[in-house]
Amino acid sequence: MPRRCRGRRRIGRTVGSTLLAWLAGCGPPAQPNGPSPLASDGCRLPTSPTAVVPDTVVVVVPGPLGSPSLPPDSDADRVVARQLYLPLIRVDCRGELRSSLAGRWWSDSGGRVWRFELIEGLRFADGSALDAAAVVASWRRTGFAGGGVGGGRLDAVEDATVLSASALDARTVRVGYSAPVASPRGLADVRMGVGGPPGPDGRPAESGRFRLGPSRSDGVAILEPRTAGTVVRVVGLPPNADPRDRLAGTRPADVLLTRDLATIRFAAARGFEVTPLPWDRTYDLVTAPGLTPPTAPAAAELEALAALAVRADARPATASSGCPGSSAAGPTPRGGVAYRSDDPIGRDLAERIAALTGLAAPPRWLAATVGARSAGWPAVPLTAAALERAVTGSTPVTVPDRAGTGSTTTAAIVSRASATAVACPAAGPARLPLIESRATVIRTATPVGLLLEADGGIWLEPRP
Amino acid sequence: MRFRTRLALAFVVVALGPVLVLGVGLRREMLARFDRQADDRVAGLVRLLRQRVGDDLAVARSRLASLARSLEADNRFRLAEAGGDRRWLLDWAAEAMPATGLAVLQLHEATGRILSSGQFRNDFDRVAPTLPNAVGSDSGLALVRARRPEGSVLALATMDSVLVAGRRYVLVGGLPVDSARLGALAPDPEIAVALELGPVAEGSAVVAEIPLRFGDDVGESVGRASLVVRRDPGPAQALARRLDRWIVVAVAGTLVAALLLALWLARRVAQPIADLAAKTERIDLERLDQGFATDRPDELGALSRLLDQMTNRLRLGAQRLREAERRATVGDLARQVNHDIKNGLTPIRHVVRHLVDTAEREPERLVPILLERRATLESSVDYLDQLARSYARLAPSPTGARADAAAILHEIAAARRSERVAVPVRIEGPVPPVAADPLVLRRIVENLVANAVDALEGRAGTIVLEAASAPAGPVRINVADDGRGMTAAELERAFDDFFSTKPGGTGLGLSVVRRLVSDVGGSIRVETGPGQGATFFLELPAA
Repeated sequence: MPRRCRGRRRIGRTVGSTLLAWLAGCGPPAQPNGPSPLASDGCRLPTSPTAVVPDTVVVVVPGPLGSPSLPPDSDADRVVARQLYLPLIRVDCRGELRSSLAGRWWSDSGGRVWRFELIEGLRFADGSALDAAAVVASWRRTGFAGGGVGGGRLDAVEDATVLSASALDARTVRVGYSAPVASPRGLADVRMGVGGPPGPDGRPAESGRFRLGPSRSDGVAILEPRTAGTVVRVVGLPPNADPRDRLAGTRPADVLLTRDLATIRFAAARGFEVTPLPWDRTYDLVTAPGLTPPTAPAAAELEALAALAVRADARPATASSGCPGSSAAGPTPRGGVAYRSDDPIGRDLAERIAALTGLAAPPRWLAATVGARSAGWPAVPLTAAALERAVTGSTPVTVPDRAGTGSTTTAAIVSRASATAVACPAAGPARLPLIESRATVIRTATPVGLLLEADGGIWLEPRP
Repeated sequence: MRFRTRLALAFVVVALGPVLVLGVGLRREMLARFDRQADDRVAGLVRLLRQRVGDDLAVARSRLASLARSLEADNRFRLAEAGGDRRWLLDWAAEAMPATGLAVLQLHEATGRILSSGQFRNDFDRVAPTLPNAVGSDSGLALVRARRPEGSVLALATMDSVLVAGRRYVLVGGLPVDSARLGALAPDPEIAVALELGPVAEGSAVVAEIPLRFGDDVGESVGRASLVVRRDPGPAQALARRLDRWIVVAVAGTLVAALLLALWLARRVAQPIADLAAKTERIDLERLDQGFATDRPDELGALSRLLDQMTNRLRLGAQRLREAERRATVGDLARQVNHDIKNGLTPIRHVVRHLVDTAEREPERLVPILLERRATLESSVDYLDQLARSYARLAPSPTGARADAAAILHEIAAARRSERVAVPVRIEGPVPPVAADPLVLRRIVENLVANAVDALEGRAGTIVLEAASAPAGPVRINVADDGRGMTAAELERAFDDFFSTKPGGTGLGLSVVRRLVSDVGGSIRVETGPGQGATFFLELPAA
């Protein structure tokens, strides 16, 4: 099984076929399911029986690590939050629903209402009971279940909006959707993790296999097993740090998550276990409503973007999840191609788009958008909040153009989870998927097992 | 102009002149020196900039040459160009550029297509021969503006080339340059260095200019640029303003000091003089007791002592003068008494002579004539008697005295009338009494009539006495004779004391008349001419 996951292409094909089957409506059976054995799902990287188990396992994840809570903010926080707060169900790397807190789930109204039966005897880390009411209360605290119409925000991770969540009894949670869904896989999102009543530090009690231990430094989270096992030290890698540095030295990371191609090549050259995770991130080109929307690039052009422009494991995106956008009359806005400043893939893409806009003859798919001959748009780094404002247009974001004068943004590179359904407002900006990327997990040693999820997440399995 | 004003003006002129000359001269010298030093610094900076540009060119050439040789020897480059791993080629410039300290590094095909860009990794495949064209085939130096993802970057660039498998590749690279980096070479904030990408603006305080070739990859054009040195005129202007302020302060301080010193000196010098003037002003013949004694050793002390001596001499002189005046007054009084007695005795002499003549020629009429002239005798005796009492008083007549002019004229006419002299009296209308002692009025008219009789020089003649008065006006009394009259010279001295045209005359008659008329507040004038007689016009205040 580890050998199956070690080959990136095979995994890619497997996950791709699974996603396609899922998008085609092939969900899990509507009848009650039992928990599937993890050992047989093919998405498990087991602990080596011969590995020396240290006192602490070091896991390095990209990006800044904040204060892990619900809902998590960054990729690093998502890794930690996944270990601390379990959702009702999970989706493995092949796209199959697996048991988590819920042992069984079924729909009895054609997919509009789903019921989840919790595993018996669940408790939070603080000892309080983890029952159906606690699950609903946790969702309400995080805002994903308001208990009524418009209370849910799962439209970002689900095809339909969660209208209600309620506890039918001590072990049964009822979830109502705005429209029938073939699979409640959105509830497997890390944001749907269940936390107990907040403790003195304001953080909810853990429901997962780990509890958060005291940390002595910023950017480090100490995960202590709730039962027996190895302590895991999760380190958030600063944006400017080179991940390769964590694969060498006297105490290299045991597990490293990265999207950097140079790091992946370096790890492969060193003979470490390199396992690509499912394609989990799509990068869209969002153009302002005042511009002529770009057309779909040719496959070769997208292939060139994925192969040459970005220095990450990437492939062309499927264009089916884009938005056509609207052509608004008026002067063509001048400005730049914005990207999130802490996203190197977004930066590479933005810089390539900026370079293409400066060509004497831009590619056909971008020519109408660029318009008249210009010196090209600059690539402009923005904070996450500013980028969101620039994309939504709710607040104009002023960025310098190449001539040095202020202007509003013209385009932006925005990333999203690949499985996220994109809402396309009638008068919104054009949204063109360009590439998809995936992370790779590198293990220098095997003292801890990993479960691979369909959304690119990993579960740590401490060795007892 | 007062003494202290003159002194103040003198001090101001004497003090301010040198200060102004010194201030203006220092200002001019300091500003000129400031300008010379700034020019020297600018010249040094220009030398430094030229050296810096030359050093940058050498460094860039050296590094590009190294890169070209290593690229030429690198199999990965040959493999990439043969269709191998193109990512390596895309990343080559981005990895080589920071290692060599270059700010711009581009690898071009001979056609100008960018194979790898260090400052803009994803700018590959663009055909952009601008930078190689700007540098030129001589691999010289050019200022280039190259694209970067977020904008552009300026660099002093040069060029090298690599020949691989018969294909020529061009390397363009340069060291970073910007106005701030160049400005750090400036010795002080007054001098600024800037890159001008185009024509240098006129009148922009440019003091030096180093022309450069310019390749603009953003605008895809080749042109000229300049490395310009500007000198901020602000510090020189600020220095001039500060100097002006100091000059103004010095002039004002000198002005105030000069004025204060002048006022102090003026006060110190002028006050004693003013005191002397005040003391001197108080001196007259009645007050000679002002003392000027002082012990000052200076010129003012000498002047004071001199004035004190002069005052003492004046005091002695005044005593002598008063003594002389007293003696002269006694003599004058005696002469007046003599004159008045003589006047009073003249009618008596005439009566006695008349009586003697009568006794010799007509004794029978002696008694009647005696009786007839008795009144004249009595009147003359009364006049002498009153004259004697009047002199005895030696004082002016009491206020409120009234004199009947008509009666006095008639009495005098009667006393003076003789066979050869007719003395008619003409009174016009009612004549109010004169506000004077009757004796004084009689003395006035008596003297005038006696003078008229003398003017007849023994010939027969007429003396007319007239009196008249206007309503609320003075009493006018005229005494006219038809005697010899007076010449102009005689008339000029007629009222002087002791002036007389008669042999044996006292010369006091008319002077006594003038003094008495003046004493009673009246006036007198005379009309006369040689051989035309004389008429005296009196105007005396009415009582």
